[in-house]
Amino acid sequence: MSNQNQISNAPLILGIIGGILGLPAAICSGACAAGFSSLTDNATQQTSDEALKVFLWIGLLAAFIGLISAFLYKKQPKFWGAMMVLAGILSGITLVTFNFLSFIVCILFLIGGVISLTQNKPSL
Amino acid sequence: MLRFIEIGNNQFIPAYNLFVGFGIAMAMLLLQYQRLFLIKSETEKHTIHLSLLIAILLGFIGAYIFDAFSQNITLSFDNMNGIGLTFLGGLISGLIVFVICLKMSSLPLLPILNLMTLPFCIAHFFGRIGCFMAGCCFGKPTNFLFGVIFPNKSIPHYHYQELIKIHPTQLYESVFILCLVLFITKFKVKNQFYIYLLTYSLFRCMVEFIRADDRGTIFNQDIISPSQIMSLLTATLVILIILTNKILQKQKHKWQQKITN
Repeated sequence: MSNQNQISNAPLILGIIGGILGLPAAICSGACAAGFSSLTDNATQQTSDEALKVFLWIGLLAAFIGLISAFLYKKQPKFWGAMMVLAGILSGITLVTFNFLSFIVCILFLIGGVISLTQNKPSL
Repeated sequence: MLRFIEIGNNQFIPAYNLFVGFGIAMAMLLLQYQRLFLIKSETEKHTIHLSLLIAILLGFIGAYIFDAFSQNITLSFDNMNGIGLTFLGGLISGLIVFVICLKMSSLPLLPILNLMTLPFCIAHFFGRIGCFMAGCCFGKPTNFLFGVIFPNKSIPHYHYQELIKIHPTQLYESVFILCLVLFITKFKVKNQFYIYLLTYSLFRCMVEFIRADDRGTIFNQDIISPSQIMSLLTATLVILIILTNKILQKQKHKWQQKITN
């Protein structure tokens, strides 16, 4: 049995669920950001649209990176673990929109990333 | 049925995404413990993971494009909200991408597809439960014993404008997939992938007759839905591949006998 089997499967589960949930989280973040932006003084349609795009793309990027990390971490646990932590941080940025779904995604990626970072690369 | 799962004060998790994510996660977890996957080298495992990742991502895009095509919606950023996902479109496009990735990596095709069948059935099962929760892919009205009334503000309610008992076509598919999993594991079926593709195509073709959501149109007719055409083509292709393989095996056997004689 290969050494790779000693690597935890937790980042796989957490990363996939976080990645799939990250898609609606990104949409929610964008919508919330646009909503908050429209409440500020001197708010315009353009500023709301820009706020929506920024948070939407940050959320999507986080989901994308987290999902890729989940599939590829077993060969390079440290690198992809760090990427999953990065995805968690990006999801954390969207928390300023008070989006609870982003919070769940952030936690999933951070836990998965930390577990992956503590794994050892399988020896050949 | 329960489109959003409430987890706090005005905080929700979309049930469809949760179930799809859970399904893919369980499928990948099952794959890690498959005996034939465990004995593969780390490079092969990594290649299979990478191929799966690419296939899943491009499969979602394929599902999106197929839905746009069958609904006659032009693909553009403005129309994105009006386009959904079609499972068969995703399955076929994801499968094509997966096969291309395996071929490029010089990995054996059929053994790996057979290895992926059970995990894929698990993902499919949970995906359809997700559809049931979201209320999409709903059926026609019925008084059948297993008919289901979807709640207010659900997709079927918006479609029918009343609380009416309808076929839970999503659950029919889930039960079918579950029975297929039990059949494959109990009878230790050899060519699992062919069995899955053939039986699911035929089953999907039958279920389409009791589906009531907008099926789209193809070739300017609405007798057979685009998914039925895809299902029939898939089933035909699988039968042709099986027959071709059998003929080629017989020819090979005859040649080998001639050589030994």
